[in-house]
Formats: sequence, structure tokens, C-alpha cells
Amino acid sequence: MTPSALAGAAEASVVALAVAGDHRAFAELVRRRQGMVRELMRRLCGDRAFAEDLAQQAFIQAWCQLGRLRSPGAFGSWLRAIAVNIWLQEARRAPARLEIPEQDLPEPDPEGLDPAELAAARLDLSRALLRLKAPERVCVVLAYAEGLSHGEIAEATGWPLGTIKSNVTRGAQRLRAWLSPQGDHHE
Amino acid sequence: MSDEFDPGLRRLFSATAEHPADEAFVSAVTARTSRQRWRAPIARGLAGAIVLAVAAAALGLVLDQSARVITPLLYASPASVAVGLGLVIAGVVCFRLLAPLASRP
Repeated sequence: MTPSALAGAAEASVVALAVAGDHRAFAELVRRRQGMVRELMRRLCGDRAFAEDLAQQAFIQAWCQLGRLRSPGAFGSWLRAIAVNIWLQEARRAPARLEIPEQDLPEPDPEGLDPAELAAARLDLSRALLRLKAPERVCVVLAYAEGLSHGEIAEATGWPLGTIKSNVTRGAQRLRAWLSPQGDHHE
Repeated sequence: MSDEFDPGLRRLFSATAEHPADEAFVSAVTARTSRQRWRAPIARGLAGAIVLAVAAAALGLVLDQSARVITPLLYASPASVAVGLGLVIAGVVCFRLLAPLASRP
């Protein structure tokens, strides 16, 4: 299949080609899924360069483990689970790298933000996320940034549903408290 | 997304979302996966060779050590003398029983 044909092909077909060892098909999958993986890692890491490195690692691991993918249609959720796993491993290995010390965070208003305000809101949210514990952070990001349900988060992380629900609730409460004008006083 | 999620936070995440997409990232990943493609079979072959070498060395060591233990026992044990004697007697008995059969026309 030519690169232009690959670009228009259904993802399941491209995945099937990649599973068979077609390197160009895998490149097409990276092209299609890079936004999701890079955005997920950016939210989780804060540090862009580190997030890019982890995103690359996620794709490389996916390439090495493509033979284990049960259904080509499940490629997206399978890749997301790999990315989450890589980040969790990193969080266990070097937690200090993925956290920032506590600091006051002003409230951003997402409605009608100009570019400068948007950049500030992005920074504030990023800092607030970095203050969450790793399990809360990954659950909040998957719920609010990726739009996953509790069940889908449980599938991606391999954690029990109850743990997911409490992590999402607690993490969201903390984020709200940190992003409120009173900052840490709400916690 | 479930309705139980906070709408304010949802809006904030949505407003601050980025959707990075560039060929530089694709090239960086595919360059690394290409190297991986050649490295994986070589690494598998090397790992197999190392496992075989270790297994052969372990087997040699075990045989060498067990020979050192078994050989003196074989020569020194009264049981081995008894077994040897038993074999000689069994041989004589067989010879005595079979010799007449062999000499018959």
C-alpha cells in the first residue's frame, strides 16, 4: 500500500499491516495517534521535553509489542494503556521529576481567554496537576482531558473501579481548591 | 464523558488542550523503531547463544563434579564389590546352564 493510500485507509487495516511488520503502516499510526499520546504525556509530565521522550517510548514499546494486540480495532485504547503504564513506571522510578513544590495558583477562567490568558491558564493547570499524587493525576487527566469513563480508566490503568472513582473525585477536588482564589486554604 | 465529572474543570481542560502533530515526531519515532527492528533479532540470537553457553557450562560442571563423587564410591563401596561378585556368579551359572545346550548336535 502506498503512503497516500495508507493515509486514507481505515485504522484497523493500517494496524493489521503494521502487525505484519510494515514499517510505513506503523509510521502512519504514529502520525494519527501522536496528538493523543503527546497531549496525555504533556498533561502528566508538565515538562515538555520529558513528555516528548516518554511519548516516543510509548510508540516504540507499541511497535515491539504489536504482536500481542488482540484486536486491530482496539489499537487506540491499547496504545493509551501502554502510555499510561510507561508514565506510571516513571512516576514510581523518579517521583521527584514529576512533581513540583507547593505554590499559590490563581484562578483561570477558561471562558473567553485571550492567548496570553490561555497560556497562563495552561501553566496554572499544568502546575496544579503536578501537585497531584501520581494515581490521582493519571485518573484526572484520563477523565477530564481524554474524556474517558471510570470503566475505561480502569481498563487503561488496570486498577479497580472504586480506586478510579475515589482518585478522580479526590483529584478534581484538589484541583478546584488549588485553582480557586483562596488557593491552598480550601484543601 | 460521564456527567458526574465537574463541568468547570472539563471546560478548563478543553480550553487548554493542545493537539501536537508534526512530521518531526513521526520521523524521530520511526528512526528509533527502525533501529529496534534490526536490534531485536540480533539481541534474541545473542540471548539464545548466551543461554546455550551457560547451560553447556553448567552441564559440564555437574558431570565433572558428579564423576568426582561417584568414581571413588564405586571402587570403595562394599555394595559395589557385592554387585561385582553377584555378576561373576550369575555369569558362571549362565555358562553352566547354557554350555550343555551349546554342545548338543
